[in-house]
Amino acid sequence: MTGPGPNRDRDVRGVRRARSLVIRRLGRRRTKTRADFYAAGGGVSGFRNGLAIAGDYMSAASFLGISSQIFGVGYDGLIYSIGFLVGWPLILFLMAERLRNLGKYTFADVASPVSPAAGPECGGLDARRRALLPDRADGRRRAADQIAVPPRCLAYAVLIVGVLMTLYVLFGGMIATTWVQVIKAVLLLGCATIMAFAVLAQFGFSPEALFARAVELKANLAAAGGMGPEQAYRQGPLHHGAGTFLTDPISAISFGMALMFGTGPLHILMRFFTVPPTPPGAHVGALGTGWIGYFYILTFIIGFGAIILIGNNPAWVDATGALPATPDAKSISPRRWAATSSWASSRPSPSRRSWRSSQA
Amino acid sequence: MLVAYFGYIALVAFDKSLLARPIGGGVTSLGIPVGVGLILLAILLTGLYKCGGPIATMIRWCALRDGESE
Repeated sequence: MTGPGPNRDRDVRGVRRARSLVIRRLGRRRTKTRADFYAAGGGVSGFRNGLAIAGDYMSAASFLGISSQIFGVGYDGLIYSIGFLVGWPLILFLMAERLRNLGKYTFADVASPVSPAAGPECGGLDARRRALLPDRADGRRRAADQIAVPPRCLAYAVLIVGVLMTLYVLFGGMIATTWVQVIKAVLLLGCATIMAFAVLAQFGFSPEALFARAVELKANLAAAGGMGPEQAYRQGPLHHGAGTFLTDPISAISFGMALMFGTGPLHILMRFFTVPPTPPGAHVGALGTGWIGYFYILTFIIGFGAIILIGNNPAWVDATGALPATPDAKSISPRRWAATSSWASSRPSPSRRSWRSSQA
Repeated sequence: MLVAYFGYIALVAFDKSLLARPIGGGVTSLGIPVGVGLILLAILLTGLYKCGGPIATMIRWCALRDGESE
């Protein structure tokens, strides 16, 4: 994990981009009618749809966000996972089937019964567009943040991706979107499984050993920061609510409710329109929940792995265990990447070609 | 699900030390099995819901058939 992290990240995304272009072409060939476009003709199989739901749900953001939250505050990061996950069965129980019975393509069909002539179509299109696009744009922007690129290139990248993405949704419709999500889910689940496996392998597959090492490390870091032994121990990642996160009951309850209701993934509900009428979506929902839950458990392990493998590596953090002052990856110069990756050692002075130094 | 989740959040809110208590003599705290258990419960409940749907449909269908035969 301390190896060429950003490069692997970039590779994964490059593969995903290339494959998704192929998929869009395949998807377009099969999209003919309006029902095809919005709901993939109601004929996406349950297994694929379950994966697609999981792909919709677990973005790169939740992967990076939750594992780094655990890296930062320990156990409290798990509350995020649980809150996100719990919102989903509730929406499934309460809304999914009703929605499917009432609406035609999107939840806007249900929400705008006042003007049946124009409302549902326009509202549906709008809601669908809003559901499909920002999610993706946001994801790409965050993906770009992970890679050390100069700001000018970033603007072009965002522009190109925006155009591609619009074409993609316009021509591919729901089939293309479904396939993209399926592949995203497979890649995310696969990579997270490998990472969690590798982390656990370092500790003889004993979570206890993993946690013990993480607690020890955090306590050492806190002691190095000038705390007494007792106080340092309380900084440990298993001390729930250590530090400033969720210190009083009111904020904990408010946070819990916001997580569950606030992140209600309405756009994911549209996936239920892509399922054949029987069985009524529940099958798909169960599959999706299974994948998502598994993924969050993996994330928890990876977060603790990060405490040990990154929090202990002087190439990444300073003596008190803090990451560099600016949190985004752009601030870490290629020289720094080079220092931590093995391939660079065989090349002559990679810092000469650093974007940062050529711009300075 | 709601009950379990709000129970958990209430624990977070009012009695953090309980969740931070180590179990089994090691460092693994009680919060970890509880948290992972909640995730598994969510999976289990959606699984039950999945089985429940077809069963409910069958019961409804049987009731309909019996109603017609009379």
